[in-house]
Amino acid sequence: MALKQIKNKIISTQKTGKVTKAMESVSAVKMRKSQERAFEGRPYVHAALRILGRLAESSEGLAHPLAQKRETGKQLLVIVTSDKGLAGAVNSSVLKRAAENFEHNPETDVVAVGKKALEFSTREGKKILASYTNISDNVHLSDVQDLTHVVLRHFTDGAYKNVTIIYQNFISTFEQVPVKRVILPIDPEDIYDVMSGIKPKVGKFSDDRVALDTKTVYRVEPSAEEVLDTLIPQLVQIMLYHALLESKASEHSARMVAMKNATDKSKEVVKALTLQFNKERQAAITAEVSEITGGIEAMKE
Amino acid sequence: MASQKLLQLTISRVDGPVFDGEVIAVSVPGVEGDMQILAHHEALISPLRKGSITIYKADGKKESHLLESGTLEVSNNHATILI
Repeated sequence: MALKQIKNKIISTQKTGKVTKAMESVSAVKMRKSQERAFEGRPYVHAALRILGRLAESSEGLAHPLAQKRETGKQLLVIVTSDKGLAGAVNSSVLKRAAENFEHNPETDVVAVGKKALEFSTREGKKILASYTNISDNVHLSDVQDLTHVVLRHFTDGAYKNVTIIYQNFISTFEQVPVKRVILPIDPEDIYDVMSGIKPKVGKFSDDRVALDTKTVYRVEPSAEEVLDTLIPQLVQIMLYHALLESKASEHSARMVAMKNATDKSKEVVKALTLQFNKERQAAITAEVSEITGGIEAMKE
Repeated sequence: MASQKLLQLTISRVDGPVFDGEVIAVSVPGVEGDMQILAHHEALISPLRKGSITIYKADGKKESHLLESGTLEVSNNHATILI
């Protein structure tokens, strides 16, 4: 390779390194924000679970239609991915999980969240009931409002035996695992799992357990059924909201790690190229010097 | 006002806490009519309809929040409103 070419290659690699470095920093900030937002919802979830727990203990129990298990019907699958790539294996692992699910449940319709999920479902030839793309990083409750309505409406219609969601579960900055959970029919145990999902293994929020005390006898007005009518859609909404938050947090942390690797690699490549550049330059100089000395020797004779 | 009985009130939304503190009373739009909750109210669970929550704070000030729907829970002198 000519000297000029090596030089150009070094410059372009350095530029790429700068871009990935910037993406790494941006992802780091976004990741922290996503995590903080997930923690802000904690008090709400605790209170909602407490109320649900108490109602479940009451005489009517969880006899609500949205809590009844169904034996037959199709499956409604909500797939949550990101819109953009360059984030390591985040999306592919979710989609792999979804593909496995399709094998077990061929009768599955899809609600796609994120461009990658939409592309995947279209490719698989599944019926797409609704799709949501370009959801801002700053996930807002209104972003999931429509999704919640769609999910509830289709489930109440009775064509589906359950509503399942697949999303990337945030464990730590370096570890994300795709999870599959059933959101409808509702199960208090499952909700707890969803909520505990986003908490880190160690640190500030790690020992955060919901205590269900059931000593108090409540007056439920007007009836347990009506309370559940408002509470269950709210719980479905918060589960979807959390899935979205987790998925965002995972996306950003995976991208951060991927970009860090890319930055490190670019430095490595620049180093190797510089070495090659120096060698070539030295070879050129040596050649030139020997030519000159050769010329002088020739003139002497 | 030292003898005034106060009620613990927590108002939470899915995306974050809205209000947390001690209040004299809070009035909420229950599905079967507006209710005012004072300190040491009996244990109660009730859904709320669209309307506004008015908080009567210990310093005499009032504060209002709008809600689309929600759930109220009262126990042990602690009211929790989920909106």
